[in-house]
Amino acid sequence: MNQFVIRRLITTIPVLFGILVLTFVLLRAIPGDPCRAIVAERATEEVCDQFIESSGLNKSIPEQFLDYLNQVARGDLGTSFRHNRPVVDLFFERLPTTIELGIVASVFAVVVGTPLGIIAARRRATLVDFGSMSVAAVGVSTPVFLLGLLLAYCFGVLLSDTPFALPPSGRLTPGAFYEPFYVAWGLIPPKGEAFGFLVFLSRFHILNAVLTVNPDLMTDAIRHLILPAVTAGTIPLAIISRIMRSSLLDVLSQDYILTARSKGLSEFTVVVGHGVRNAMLPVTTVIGLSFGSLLSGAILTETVFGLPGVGQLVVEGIFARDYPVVQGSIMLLAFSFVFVNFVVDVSYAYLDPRVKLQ
Amino acid sequence: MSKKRLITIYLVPIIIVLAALACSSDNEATQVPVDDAPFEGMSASAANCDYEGEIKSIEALDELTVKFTLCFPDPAFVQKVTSPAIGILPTGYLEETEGADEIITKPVGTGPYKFERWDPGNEIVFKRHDDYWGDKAKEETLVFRWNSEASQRLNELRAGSIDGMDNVSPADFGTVESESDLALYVRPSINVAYVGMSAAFKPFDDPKVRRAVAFAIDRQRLVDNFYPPGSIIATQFLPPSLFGYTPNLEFFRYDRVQAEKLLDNAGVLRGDDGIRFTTTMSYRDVVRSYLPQPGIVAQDIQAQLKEVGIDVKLQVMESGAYLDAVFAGDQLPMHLLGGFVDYPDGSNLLSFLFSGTSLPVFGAKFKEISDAVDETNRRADPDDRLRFFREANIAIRDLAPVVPFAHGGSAAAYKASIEGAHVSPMAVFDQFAVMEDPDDDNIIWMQNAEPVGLYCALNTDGESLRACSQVHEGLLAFSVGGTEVVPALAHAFTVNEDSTEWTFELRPGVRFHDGSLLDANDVVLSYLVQWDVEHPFHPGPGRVPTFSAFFGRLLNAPAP
Repeated sequence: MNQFVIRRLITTIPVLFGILVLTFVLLRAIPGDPCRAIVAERATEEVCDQFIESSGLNKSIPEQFLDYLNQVARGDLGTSFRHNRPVVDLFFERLPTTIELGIVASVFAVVVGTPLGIIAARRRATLVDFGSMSVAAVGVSTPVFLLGLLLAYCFGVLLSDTPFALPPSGRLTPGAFYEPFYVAWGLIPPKGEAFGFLVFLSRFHILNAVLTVNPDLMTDAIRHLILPAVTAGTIPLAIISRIMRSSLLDVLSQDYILTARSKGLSEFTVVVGHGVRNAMLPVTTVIGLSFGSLLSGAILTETVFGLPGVGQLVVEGIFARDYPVVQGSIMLLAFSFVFVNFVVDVSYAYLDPRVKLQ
Repeated sequence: MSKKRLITIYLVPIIIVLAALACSSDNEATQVPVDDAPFEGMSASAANCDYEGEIKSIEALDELTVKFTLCFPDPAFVQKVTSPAIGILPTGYLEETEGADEIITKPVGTGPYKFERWDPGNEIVFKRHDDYWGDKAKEETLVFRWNSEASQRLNELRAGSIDGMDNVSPADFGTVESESDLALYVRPSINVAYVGMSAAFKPFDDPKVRRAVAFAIDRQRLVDNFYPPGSIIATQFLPPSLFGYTPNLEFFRYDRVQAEKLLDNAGVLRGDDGIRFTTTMSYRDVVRSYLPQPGIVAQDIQAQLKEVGIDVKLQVMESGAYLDAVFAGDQLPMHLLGGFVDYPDGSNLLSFLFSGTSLPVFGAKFKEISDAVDETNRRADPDDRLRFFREANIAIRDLAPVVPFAHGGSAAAYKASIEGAHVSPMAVFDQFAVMEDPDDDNIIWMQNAEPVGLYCALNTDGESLRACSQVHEGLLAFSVGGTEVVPALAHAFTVNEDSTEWTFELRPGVRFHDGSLLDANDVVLSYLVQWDVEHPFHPGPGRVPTFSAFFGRLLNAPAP
């Protein structure tokens, strides 16, 4: 097992390096002048020249790459051209929202998608199967921005005077302020990195609500996440339900299921205890990959719902040609994606011992 | 241990400590309160005016008087000093932050609202500045939020979770107007959309061809079909609300016959296929108030020019690359673009494209235009300036390097119940302090994007500048919802005859958000950190775009 983990860890290094090279090259291949995008559309040539020089963009691409590599090796992802602030600060300010969205969307996708797949498999070729798989097909093919806008209009505007009303956008109610847990716990004034970590944790609003026992914050934070999570989770939900269905159908046709049935076990025990358990392997992979892609692919959801996540930061960075922000954020996102996949692989190996041998 | 020794052990340290305390309190006592200290005015000056910048010197004459000496007359100086990009900051705060980090995220100014907190990506909260020198903000709290989707901003407004939103989509004007609990505020157009032609490409080197294009474009049709209410047809480059507009200037009316005649005269004849010549018109798919639907407008112009035998291929380009190509002047035969102003003076719109030092955006320099534009920048007398504006406007019409076709309107929407709601023609000067929400004690505003920073010397985006203008104030300001220059931190100013010496009298008793009192040194230092590249608090080369745009080269800037 240890060897397997080490081997997997080593394979992540070229992946991350490849992403670093690719991001660096692709960003510079995009047409557009960072000065016009960041300083001003009507900036004079002199101002632009000064900006380009001070940003190091006057150097050749290989020189810029070596500089960047040197920076990254020292754990410095650079300073945003646009915000004049360290990329790491900007990224970790936004990461909690993206993780919260990813978790809630994943929970939604798994909790709804898995039973949907099981029901479809159990009622194969019936109206229920057809209906649930149609819902899955629609879910996969509906553009995120369209679904998001429709949900926001429906629950934000049409149902605004009903108990079903939900906020159309934003992370919390405008102007609402909730005490961070470290203040509530009297941990002020912590300094340095420890303080930064506490601030980072406090930006997980649901966690902060739990730690400060604040039901108002909990309600507010969850209400603002429902529509984005449903929007972001619909595609993974559809994929999970379809994989669950086909995997379970495959398992249910195995001989050991027949043996279980012939032993007189209840249908529930046969399906859930023997069938679902064995059908979960491919579904686990999909769940892991979905969470990884939710982390990195929440761009549209965050843009539509105005959520202060990493996706929004990257989009703004791309439009502004803010190379350090895009490069740094993608590196960190890639790292988290690789990490999640690593965890999935390891858990896969744990669930299925044959994987280790391969 | 003897008594004597015990006394020595305990008493000596006590005496030393007491003596130290006494000395330290003595030191504090000898520190004269700042208010009573004789005022030492700061000043900064350029050795001469050869550095190609506008400012010669800035001096604090006394505690409440600041004098600017300019290298040449600048009639728009009073408008430039309104900008939130050149807001006045307290000296102590500048020294404490050294012009970095907190200055961007935790601003301190004199405005009616003071910064409370910034939840990155989510919102910025401001609180009423209770020591404000003028009318205090009506509401205790001001919240800035953002969403890039116009439909989502409208959803928020209709859901009642915000009080006002910027940039209503033109398609939603009707929706907002039809709902009784919402109100639409159309922003006057201080911008221009135009088709530019480069004389570096044949046949656009012939003014007759350029005039023919002007005759061939039905500007009324473009405005009627593709612009929101509040937009107007452009009859010259400058919009009517801008100083420098020339009334009753006859522009080319849509006349296909005249266009064809001019093209024939220029020797650009129709071929067998009915085409006179083929060219490319480039544009970027970026929505601006002057060009709310770039693609559709480009297609319609393409169709209109086809009718007179000009075959136009359309080319969509990435914004940055497009601007670079446009400013190069010799890369694009035709382009679709526009511009808006930083301050409401015609020289701001004209100088960028047509002054003697402008880039040859239209493939050549047009001396008749640039001479007149340069005069509008040098003259102090308003009547004199208007005369040269007229010359410039006529020369632009006759030489036709551009065909201005629209001054686009835009709109904000508020809950109908918000009292004092307004839109400023200069969008960044919307003043939320005069707005009152009878339903609660806050104003919640939603705009397109998050401010990049709150030290707006560094920023040019409207979203940042609007937020900055709630916190920072300039020496002067614009009237609420208007473009009239009114007193702000300076309650009066005088200017010499040739507009090169401007002396501002500061308002006494103005307090910054950190409690310190405004004086002339705050003004000098706030300007100096932007003006002097070698000042330790200067943000860095190329980082003060507004100051550079307003006042030319910076002091001690490296040679280009």
